[in-house]
Amino acid sequence: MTFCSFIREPEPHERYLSGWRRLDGEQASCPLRARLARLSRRMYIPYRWPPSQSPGTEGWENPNIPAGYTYFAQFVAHDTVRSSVSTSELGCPGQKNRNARLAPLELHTLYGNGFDGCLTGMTETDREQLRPSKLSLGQISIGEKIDESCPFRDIPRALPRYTTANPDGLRSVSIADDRNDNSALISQMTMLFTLFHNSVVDHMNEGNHLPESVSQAYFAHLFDRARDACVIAYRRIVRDDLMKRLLHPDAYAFYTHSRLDFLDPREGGALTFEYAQALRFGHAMVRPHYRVNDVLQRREELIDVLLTTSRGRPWRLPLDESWAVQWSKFFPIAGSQPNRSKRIGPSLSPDFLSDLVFDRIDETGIVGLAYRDLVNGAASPVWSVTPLIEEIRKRKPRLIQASRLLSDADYRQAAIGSWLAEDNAATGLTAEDIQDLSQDPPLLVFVLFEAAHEMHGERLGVLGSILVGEPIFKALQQGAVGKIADARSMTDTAVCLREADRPHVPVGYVTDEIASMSDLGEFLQERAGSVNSVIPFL
Amino acid sequence: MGIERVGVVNHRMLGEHVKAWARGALPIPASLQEFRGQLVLAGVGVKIPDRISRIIFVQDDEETLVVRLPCRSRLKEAEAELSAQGGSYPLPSFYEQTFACRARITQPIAFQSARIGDYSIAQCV
Repeated sequence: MTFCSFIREPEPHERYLSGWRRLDGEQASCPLRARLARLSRRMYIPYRWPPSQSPGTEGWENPNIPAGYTYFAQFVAHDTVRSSVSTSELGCPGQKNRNARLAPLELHTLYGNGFDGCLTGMTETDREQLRPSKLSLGQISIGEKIDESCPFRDIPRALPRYTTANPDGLRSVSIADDRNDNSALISQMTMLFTLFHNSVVDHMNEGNHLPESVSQAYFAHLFDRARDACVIAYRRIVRDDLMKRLLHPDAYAFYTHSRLDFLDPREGGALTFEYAQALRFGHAMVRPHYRVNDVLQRREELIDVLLTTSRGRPWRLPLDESWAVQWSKFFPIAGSQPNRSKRIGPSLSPDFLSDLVFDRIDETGIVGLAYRDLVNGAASPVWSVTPLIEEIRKRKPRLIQASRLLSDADYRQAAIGSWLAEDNAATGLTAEDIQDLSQDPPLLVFVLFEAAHEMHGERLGVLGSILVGEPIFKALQQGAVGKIADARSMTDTAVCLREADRPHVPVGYVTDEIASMSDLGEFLQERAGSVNSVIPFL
Repeated sequence: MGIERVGVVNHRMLGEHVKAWARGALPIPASLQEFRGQLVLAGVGVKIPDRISRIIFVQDDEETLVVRLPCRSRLKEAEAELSAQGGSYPLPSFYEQTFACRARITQPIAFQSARIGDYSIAQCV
């Protein structure tokens, strides 16, 4: 599926960088890349937040968004966007970026292609444990040992024996979307939703059938029904919890209004280029360090969060006790004081500059995530900020009026210019850079700046909320519950299933209970079996 | 919540920068702000706690042995932290990535002493 532009395709002069040469093949001498390199340096200089008024907290900590939402938002990002072109290839001739995620917000990032219905030779143990209907989990190690006291609280990892892969360490992950192992915390989030699915399978099977007596079709149907229940609950969490925390209150009210009238009325499921850019705001929410649990009296630095993956440190896996997340430290559960996310602003945690994780992607030799984000934006045919604001103003002037940054172009340019000019001796940004970038900032930079400038970094501003919120609420509306269930009933396995063989637990029991990530944590604590160990689950 | 330490993101780049200072190829920063600025420009990435307000550069010569002593109060804090249950010695990430194995530090205080014995007298070459 191709990406599309928000509302309509911008005219050439309405596009970001319309007055500039775009990325070119001569990477080392490309003036745009050099400018983006200078701008990327600006994004590692801490934003000047006012000092915190709450004892024990820092000015950069966001009181509105606990740190777990950073990784839930990343999980949602993986469930909506899967770019077909790597960042290092962007801007090269002949590359057309497509979105390989065909059905957003249906948990394809967790389920992949789903139950294949072709399992043969199931053993009795497989049947007894409902393995065909479940997703795999991995054990963590405690004190460098793995035994029965170690709970299944990692994603499944394996030694790549008898393959062409490097056989040292647990380099293989058996998950649908390997981006869900690009940090220790996103893999823990994936583990959480895997546990969710498996506990729903167990619950749906209770009192229905003895697994050894049923057909393969039963397992397929059980898988599908559990997936439906999880997708419905997940979508509710996205709408009622994540979006409520992230979006500007006016934008959230707009998108949750009973007579919702989208700014972009076009039908179809294509996500926008602007969404794919704005979504990167989550990088700014990542803390420089985390308290993962109380087992070790220490914090984990971001660089270790980023490196503790099957590709980064296969010798250190499965995850050990220092990485088993105690979820009350990431979401507000029973009065807990979780890690707070970093305030949203045009500033990333310094560890994102690491060349161990974000090595150079072109001949400029610039390392780090900020540069990648900026190159990605420059290669994408997104709207320029000013014409985009005008286009939205034509349709919903009230949303624009709520923001001085959006409604007053001179004020906007001066504010961005002032921020860019700080520390320009260190960044190397020239007067010409500052002039051009304040007139035509990268969309992501504007979204981050808007959040910092108008919302104190506690949530997205109006434009960021529209660009992120509209595609999400469209996807939520388009993928209705009934539609999912109807589609599943057409699968071969379900058609073959006799009514008497179907699980009889209604989907609604899960969705009635779970409306937030905190609810999900408590649900799993109660229903997911032996998740506790020396490391509490909550 | 642990000691706020000075942190370096890209040690190799910092090392290259230090070599340039040592050779006189780059001006030695006159202030903490200038130090930060040079490192931002070089893409090093450095985390400096707010408590730090000054910077001093010391260069060895052929006749002088420079012994760099840790701050007394920070040393006490670090020893208390390492003695606590679960205390662990933080090593820069590049060691683990270079050796492709996890450092197993079973006696953190002893290891800390050895580390101090190393870098307080090492001559940066």
